[in-house]
Amino acid sequence: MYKENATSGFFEEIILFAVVSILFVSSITFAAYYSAMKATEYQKEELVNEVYNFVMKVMGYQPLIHNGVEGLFDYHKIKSVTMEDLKKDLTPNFKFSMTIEDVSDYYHYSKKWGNISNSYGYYRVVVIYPVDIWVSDHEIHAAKLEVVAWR
Amino acid sequence: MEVDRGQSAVIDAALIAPILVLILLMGYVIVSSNTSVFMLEKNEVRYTQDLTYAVLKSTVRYVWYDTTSGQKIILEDKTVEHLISEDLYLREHGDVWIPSLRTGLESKIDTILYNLTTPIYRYSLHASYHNVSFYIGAKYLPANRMSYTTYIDMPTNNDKATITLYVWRVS
Repeated sequence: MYKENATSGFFEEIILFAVVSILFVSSITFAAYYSAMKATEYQKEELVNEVYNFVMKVMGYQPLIHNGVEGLFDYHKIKSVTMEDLKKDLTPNFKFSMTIEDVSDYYHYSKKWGNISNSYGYYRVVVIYPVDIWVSDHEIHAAKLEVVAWR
Repeated sequence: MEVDRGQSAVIDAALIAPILVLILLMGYVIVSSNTSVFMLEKNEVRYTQDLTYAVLKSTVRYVWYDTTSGQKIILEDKTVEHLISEDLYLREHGDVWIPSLRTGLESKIDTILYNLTTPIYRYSLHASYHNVSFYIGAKYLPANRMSYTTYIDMPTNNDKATITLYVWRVS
């Protein structure tokens, strides 16, 4: 009776040791993963904030807009602004690509700067904002300004 | 002996339970961390305002409606702002077939709003003038939402119509 109990107790302790070990390793792994993820989330949120401020700058960027109206991009000016102009004048602190996508029921005058296929960043954020494209006083196209940014 | 076994099961259960909780917690955190961030909440009020102006400024290539006498009216290259005020005017004066307004005019505005709105949001535009009103988009509004109200000119007098755009996050 006592021998059986002793044997049983010994094996139970091995199992107990294994369970406690798994629990301990899992907890440490999870804590490490969680803190790394929180740090990334914070950096991501910071980048979203920066990209949003960049979008606001683009909305009022004189070489792009019509008659000084924020968010009203001039179709004729859109064609002439380059990626280098955007980088030089708006000084973004991140890598990005930008698209003005015509979503109206007219012929589409979309324009894209940069290429997201070159994005190898650790994390990436997208900010999409409603704007318009001025073609003439009788033709103003609904459009979306999309900035994809990464680090 | 039986009492001992009972105690062992209780200890096992007490050890397994935290592991299960831990696994569930890890699963939840992993799933929730995959959600993409598009816009911070503090910027959403400005977003609603800019969405309102973007849609009101844009023009629509072609819209139509039928009068009560059966005449088809076609409007080309009119701003959404103009179309909403005309819609309200027609509804107030009653010489329009209302279903044609929904099909030929309001559905075009709805398409523009849908295309302009960032995918993480839903919208509902409410327009009213005196005792007439209509809405475009979702019929029911959630409690947690943003709104922006502006006033537009009516076509025949100096009166103003009220437009409110409601926007809320869905993911």
